[in-house]
Amino acid sequence: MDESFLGGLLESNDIVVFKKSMLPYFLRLTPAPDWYFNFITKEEGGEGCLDIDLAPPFLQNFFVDALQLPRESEGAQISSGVWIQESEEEGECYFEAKSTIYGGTLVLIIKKLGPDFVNRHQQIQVARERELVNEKLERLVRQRTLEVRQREEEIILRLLAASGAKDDETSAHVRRIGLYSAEVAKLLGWSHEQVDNIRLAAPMHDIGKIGIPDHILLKPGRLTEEEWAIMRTHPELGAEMLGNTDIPVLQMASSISLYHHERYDGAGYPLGIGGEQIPLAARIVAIADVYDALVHERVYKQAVPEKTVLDMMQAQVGKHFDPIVFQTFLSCIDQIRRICSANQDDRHNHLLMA
Amino acid sequence: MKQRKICMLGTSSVGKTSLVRRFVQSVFSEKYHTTLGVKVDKKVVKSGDDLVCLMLWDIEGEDRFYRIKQNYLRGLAGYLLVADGTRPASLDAAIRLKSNIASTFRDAPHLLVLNKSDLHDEWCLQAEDIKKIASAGFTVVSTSAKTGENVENVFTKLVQLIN
Repeated sequence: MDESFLGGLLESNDIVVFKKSMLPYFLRLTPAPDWYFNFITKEEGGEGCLDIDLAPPFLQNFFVDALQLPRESEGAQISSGVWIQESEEEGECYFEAKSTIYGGTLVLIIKKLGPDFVNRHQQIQVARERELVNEKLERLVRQRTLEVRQREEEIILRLLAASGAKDDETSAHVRRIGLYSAEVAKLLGWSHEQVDNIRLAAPMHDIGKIGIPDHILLKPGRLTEEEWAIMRTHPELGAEMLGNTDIPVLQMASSISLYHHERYDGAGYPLGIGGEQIPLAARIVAIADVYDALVHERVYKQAVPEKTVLDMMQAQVGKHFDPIVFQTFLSCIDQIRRICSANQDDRHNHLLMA
Repeated sequence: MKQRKICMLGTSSVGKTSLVRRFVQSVFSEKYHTTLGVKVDKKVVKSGDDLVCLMLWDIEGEDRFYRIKQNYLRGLAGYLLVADGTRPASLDAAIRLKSNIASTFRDAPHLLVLNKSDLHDEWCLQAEDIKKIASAGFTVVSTSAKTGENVENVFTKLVQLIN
């Protein structure tokens, strides 16, 4: 194969080859296609000479790496990656440079990228467009899901406000219990979906009280044994109301309703189970409910100072409360306080809403 | 004339090329044409009494198809981290990019550019997010390559930080 044949072959493949000469020059070894003069250099340094100081900036940057190739690393090769040049004659074209050591000499190869690259570009263009569409769809789904969740929450809180109008449960109280419980669940490593579920499910823990006759629910004095027995049916009533569903948030709400009066030591009701037999969601809500009820004023009692509340609750760890869950609750007490102060309403608002 | 290398960084499809085209050629195209590789443009700007030639390195967006080569950043004087206000993931990508290059270019002046302000109604970033970014040490500028809003300003501001 003679030199002119090889040169023609390289030219027809849009390749120009150089070898390093005295810096800042590279000597061109192959014929120069038209694009070479349009895009790379006009060879102001003399015919056949590529002056690296006059080369396109991208190529100048590549020369820094190319000149660092050790002369003894025969066959070693580095690539510049793709770059784009624009000319009035040809518009935007893509190029790639490679540098290698051949016979102890630094060789530079510049290739104008052709149809193969255009195909690759097309594929990546399509893939990126598809990713943009997917990203947009995912955002829309997230947005719509959030709206549905917000509507669900609104419905739940309004129904709870209506159902709690006759006793002392305020909508702010039940909302706070949901938010405290979500905070604790988050720290316990629950998934985002589960945390969201407990935030909505926890406020429904006392919904069974709807089924308790007013003369018992609203009785100002102490309840008789018989009345207490009726009162203690509210967890099961609530569980029944919320149960028999495939909707995860209602399943959790049903479970919380059934177990939120169980105690860690097994002395609670209605089933008298203890420890980890009590679903974790109910163990969380039990703590959130007691804390919030004690630190707030009710018609029949004054608010208890928070420090006293926490001391009282600490004394119930291992008896009423799960030790790990209570510890977790304490570890986020600052956040609990923030939720508490940001979610206050009064009895009047509550009655108006109902 | 002084030359300054400025790199445009960010994930794909955030509008890096559109910002450069708006700045250099005062044009904008609605058609999305993904950049493969690197394109270098030049623009001479005034900085105080001096003229400065900006070498604008528009580098392909980093995503699952492409990783930026660190040697493209060699000699940079400053950089713009570009994100798309309608795509929160692009903001995370910009923040990640900054942390990737921070060890080599810790002191290089940079700005976080939230592009596509013309689509402000579709922005998914809340004012709170923007404050969070600012408090993390980013200077944030919102731009629109489409309308040209703040495009000149963001480059001018970066040049001021560099000089």
